[in-house]
Amino acid sequence: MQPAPGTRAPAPPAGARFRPARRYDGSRSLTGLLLTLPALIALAVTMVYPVAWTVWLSLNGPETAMRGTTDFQGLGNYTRIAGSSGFRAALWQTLQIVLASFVLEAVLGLAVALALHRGLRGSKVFSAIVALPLMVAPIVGALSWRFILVDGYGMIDSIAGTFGASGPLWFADVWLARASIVIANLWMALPFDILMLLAGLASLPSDPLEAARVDGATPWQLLVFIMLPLLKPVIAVILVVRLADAFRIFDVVYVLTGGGPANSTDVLSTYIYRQMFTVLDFPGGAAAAILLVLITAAFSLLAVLLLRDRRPDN
Amino acid sequence: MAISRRHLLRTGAAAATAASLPLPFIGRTLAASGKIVAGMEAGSPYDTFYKKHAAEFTKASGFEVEFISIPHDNIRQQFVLDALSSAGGFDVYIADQVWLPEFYQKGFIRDLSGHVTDADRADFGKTAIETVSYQGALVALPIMVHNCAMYYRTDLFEKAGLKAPPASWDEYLDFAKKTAHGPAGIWGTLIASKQGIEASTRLHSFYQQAGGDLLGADGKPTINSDAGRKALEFMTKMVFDAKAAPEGVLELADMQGMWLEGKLAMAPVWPYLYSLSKEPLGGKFAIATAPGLVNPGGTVYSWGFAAASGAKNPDGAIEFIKWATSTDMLYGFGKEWLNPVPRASSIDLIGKDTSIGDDDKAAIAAFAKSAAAGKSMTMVPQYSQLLDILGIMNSGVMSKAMTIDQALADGQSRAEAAMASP
Repeated sequence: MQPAPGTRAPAPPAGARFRPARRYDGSRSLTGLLLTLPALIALAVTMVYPVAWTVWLSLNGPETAMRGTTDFQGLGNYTRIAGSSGFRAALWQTLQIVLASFVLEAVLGLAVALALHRGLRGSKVFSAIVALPLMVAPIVGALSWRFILVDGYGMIDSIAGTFGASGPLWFADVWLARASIVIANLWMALPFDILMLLAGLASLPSDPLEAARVDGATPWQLLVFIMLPLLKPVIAVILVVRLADAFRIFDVVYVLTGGGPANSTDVLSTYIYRQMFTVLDFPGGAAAAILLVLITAAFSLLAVLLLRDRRPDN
Repeated sequence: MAISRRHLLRTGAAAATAASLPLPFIGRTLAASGKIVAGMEAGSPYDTFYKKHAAEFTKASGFEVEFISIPHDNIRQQFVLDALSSAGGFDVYIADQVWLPEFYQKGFIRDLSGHVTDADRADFGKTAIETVSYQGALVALPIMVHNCAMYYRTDLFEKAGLKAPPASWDEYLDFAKKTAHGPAGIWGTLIASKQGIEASTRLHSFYQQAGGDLLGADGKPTINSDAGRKALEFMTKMVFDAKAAPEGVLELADMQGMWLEGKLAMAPVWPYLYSLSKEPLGGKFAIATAPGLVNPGGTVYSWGFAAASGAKNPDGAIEFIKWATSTDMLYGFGKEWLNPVPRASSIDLIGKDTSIGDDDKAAIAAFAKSAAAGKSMTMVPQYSQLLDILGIMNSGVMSKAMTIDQALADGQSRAEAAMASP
């Protein structure tokens, strides 16, 4: 029975006030803990332990990886790797690929999403086709692009051959090799951007758009001053997810160019792979991997800060 | 059935305890039951062959074998990770000669010296034993000692009026020009230059064919040498001047694909391509030793079985290696896959086998001759790094991103740094 308005419920006797609830909560907490324990153990084994081990490796000498003995080096491996020309070149090339990918993804992704959002005839079928690359394993996608682009007898070359021409030598030119990586990466990443933007566009409130239209706003003004600011949270999610993906790019580079020609497409992931499994420099590879995580996190944080909603009620 | 909270808690606690049991303990219990785990290269001839015959080993030794097949591109990484984690995931594995010095130096694999008799050593032969020896230790036993032999199309040679395979670099260049036929899409040969280990082995072969090597007698890098310059000049001459090989940065898979499609007149490739080529090319090809400027033949590499230091069943691993490299098994391997094998007694049996055709026997003999003409890879722990450096030079020069002078200087400086590393 509810107390009458304006009156307070009678207080329970002192001492007995919280006892039943506390016993109940404790038991529930224990049950909850035990039920989630296997998942927590699995998480610790598969995520926390490898990350902790990588950090530990990066702070020690090679003996730690080989024999498990402590050989603490402090930040020595970090300064060695960060100072190496190979790491700096790979970082610079990674940044170039990330930037080029992001500009193209933003322009093309938004254009396609807006076109599909208009609900023209065939847009549903096109949406399904656009999503197809998401279902392809990155290594398979990369191999497909190698077959399309390969110098001399790829698909592009065959098509050009029917017109008596020959295709460009994609992997024998530094800039074309970089472009081939950006194109293949774009093909794999664009569907995610488009689907996210489509979902964002579908959830936009109609009132501000209607009001702007009534006030005579052009489509461009609608996009720049109404839609894009409202899409900020979606764009922030896309940026964070895609930043991590773009910085970790490996399969495409490994399959298409192997990091060449002359290391011109070497990126941080291929650099780390080489330090770890070719040079067998485990502390250096671990330090480079941690640096990659920190760089990615820094860029992601920057993206979130730039795109955060600054309205007072948010 | 209703489950009480107490029952649920008890079951949960039991499950958590079971889940936290140390996995190695369970693994060792399995190992003690007489099982070994063998790491193989997925899709390779030896993967297929040894899986097919594993029951014979189990019958003879009592050890069961579980094969774990790993794709070529990941295989080294898997074995390194297994050694690093001390997981003991493999008792024995197939090993590329390239890995042996560094794996032994890092303590990943065992010395097999005490398990091989003098008679066996003599049967394998000096060259084969050298490919698996490092600092006096026998770190693996070989099943294949080979190099890239020159495959050439007899029909295209005949059409071009050529009677024999090229015996020198000059002839190689000349024959490639004569057999190339643009309108039909046929090239004289292909120079592999994609940055990666495969194309790097070709550049190492060119160094040796030009009379040089990657390291001098004193162990110091000789990348920036006359032989290196001649090697890179020959490659560029073949592609850019003679236009007898396609431009572009291509790799082994491209070379194999173009050869099998009939688009190459000559291709320096490994022996395993022989059996794959017979049907698509209608038998119109032959095998010869790759020509050289000073030395014919390419760099020799071996594949063999190594025993993992972290093996849970070391006795089983040794038994498996002895069985896999025995006279009978290598005879069977050579016969089934038409590959050269490293035991004299096995080669003898193949020669006497009347079920093997004369063409196939001639091909096996040609592969053996090619390997005998070549020189082993440089047995240093830094060899993988040297190949990596050759990859940068190779792709750099063939894409014109580097001049030959730049590539030689850059390669020398990188090699000096690599050799100075521990």
